[in-house]
Amino acid sequence: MILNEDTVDALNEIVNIGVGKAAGSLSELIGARIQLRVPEVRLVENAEAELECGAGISVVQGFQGSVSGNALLVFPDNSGEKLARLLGGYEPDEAVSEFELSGILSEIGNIVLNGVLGSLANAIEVDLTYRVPEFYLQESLLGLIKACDEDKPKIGPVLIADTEFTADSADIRGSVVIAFHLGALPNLLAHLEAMFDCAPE
Amino acid sequence: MIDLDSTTGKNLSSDQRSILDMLPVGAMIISRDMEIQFWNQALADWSGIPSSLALGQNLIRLFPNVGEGRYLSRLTQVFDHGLPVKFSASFHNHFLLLPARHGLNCEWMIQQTDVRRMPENADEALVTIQDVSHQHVQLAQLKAERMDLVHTRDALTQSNEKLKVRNQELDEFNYVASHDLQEPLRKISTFTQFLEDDLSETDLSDDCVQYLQYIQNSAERMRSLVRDLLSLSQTGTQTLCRKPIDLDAMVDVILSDLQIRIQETSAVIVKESLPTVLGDSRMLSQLLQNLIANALKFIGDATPEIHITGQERSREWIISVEDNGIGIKPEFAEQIFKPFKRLHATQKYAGTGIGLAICKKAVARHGGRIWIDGNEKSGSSFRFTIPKDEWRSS
Repeated sequence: MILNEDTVDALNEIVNIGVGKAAGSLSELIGARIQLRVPEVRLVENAEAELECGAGISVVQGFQGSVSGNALLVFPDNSGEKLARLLGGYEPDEAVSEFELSGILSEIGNIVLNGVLGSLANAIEVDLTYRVPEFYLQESLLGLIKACDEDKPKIGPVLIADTEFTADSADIRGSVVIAFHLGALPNLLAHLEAMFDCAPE
Repeated sequence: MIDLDSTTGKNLSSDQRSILDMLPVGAMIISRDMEIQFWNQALADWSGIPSSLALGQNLIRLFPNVGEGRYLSRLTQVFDHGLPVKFSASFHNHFLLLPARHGLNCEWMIQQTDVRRMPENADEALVTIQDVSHQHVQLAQLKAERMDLVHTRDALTQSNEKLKVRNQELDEFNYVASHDLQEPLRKISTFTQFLEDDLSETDLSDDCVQYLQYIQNSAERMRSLVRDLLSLSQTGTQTLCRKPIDLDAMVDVILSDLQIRIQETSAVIVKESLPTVLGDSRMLSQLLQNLIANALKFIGDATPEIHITGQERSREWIISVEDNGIGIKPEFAEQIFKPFKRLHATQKYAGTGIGLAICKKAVARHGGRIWIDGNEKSGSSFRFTIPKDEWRSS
């Protein structure tokens, strides 16, 4: 599926509003300025998502409603640990346990994904229900998305938003991934169309 | 799984309450204005506030920290947009300020908290609180232990570096000192000899002749000491030239060199087939020569018997030189490898007391170790190891 330019722009703006709110919450949480930036969003087939994002640490938050799927914050390689070290205030030679990694990144993921999903639901004016975020280590992205759904609906196209976290002059990259259930994306696009129609000229 | 889909805090069924009360996690239902609608048994036990007193109370009045911006702004998301919120132990330590359970080395309970909106009532949220104090304390202990280990390792590394430098300085000093000492010694010997030659016997009293002899003997002994000291320092400093060494052939050459002493003592030498090892020819030759020569020197009343053997281990060879000589008391087993350590008078057994120190240094340079087995009655067994597959030089 190919999105037209207006739709991509709208999604880009929605995601950036979401990560902007998330940056505010993160800054309040750790007491230091954090910037989040999403240069662009793109839609890929679900099989390509693995290659696009890599697999390392993921935080997954499911959502249901007229638009359903799973939202993920994915960190390739050791980016997740780097971010946890940075935001958790760890000394350079201090070890970060899986227990701490899970706690820190689950909360960061929760804040970022809440920002993006909240912004999306607000923009298209739908009421969604959400699951509590869960932390996964070293999972295949696609396998993880499938495993997170109890009733195993088919996965449709995947929206990827490369995300840059900037704090204390360090840049760490991750991706916000929204894996829509099959049929959910047309619903989203219909909502977006309705939003365009209502927008003032 | 408890079905809370059509439930609100105030109309929980008695079954639902029983199940929530049995959970080992804290569970409460709060309203948008922070009024407590349900308070489970775990929370009652942890806080000492029974459900009957908690219900209807304002959560922020009971636990003022919940009113802080970092909690309140995100709790608002739960009610306004249905977005679940997670407060991790790493960032927050505790959502509710509750005393830690007995026996734990922390004052306040460390918690991980999830808040989600009740499905059928947008004005109520379920708060679940996990007590992770135990994991937190264990983790803190592990981290403290790890930091201790890191500090100890760093201190050891620094000490090792300092020791290496000191040892190198010492070896260099030994070399220079022993080398420079040789010249004045040579002069003492030479001019004493001139005195002896130039003065006729009639010019010298018996005492003078004896004094000159003392000077000669002392100079000779000092020359031996300086020569061995030089050899010890060279063993520590000289570049290792490693190549495959056939120890079998090397021992044959050494035995041939020691043939006169073997004949004098009628010693019986038993040599098993020895391996080929990777090592420095000069150092290994001196090592084996010293050990075999010692076995031929420190002999008892019985006919000397010397066994030279090699034993294969997975990662190293053990070479042994065993004798039936006078043996060494176990309490001296470590000391004999120190320079100038002598267990017997020079008059009885000649030598400088440096030979075994050279052996120890040679073995250490090859990444092996040397030790002595046996006792005073049954002779001595000197054993040393040479690594088989890797070169671990000092």
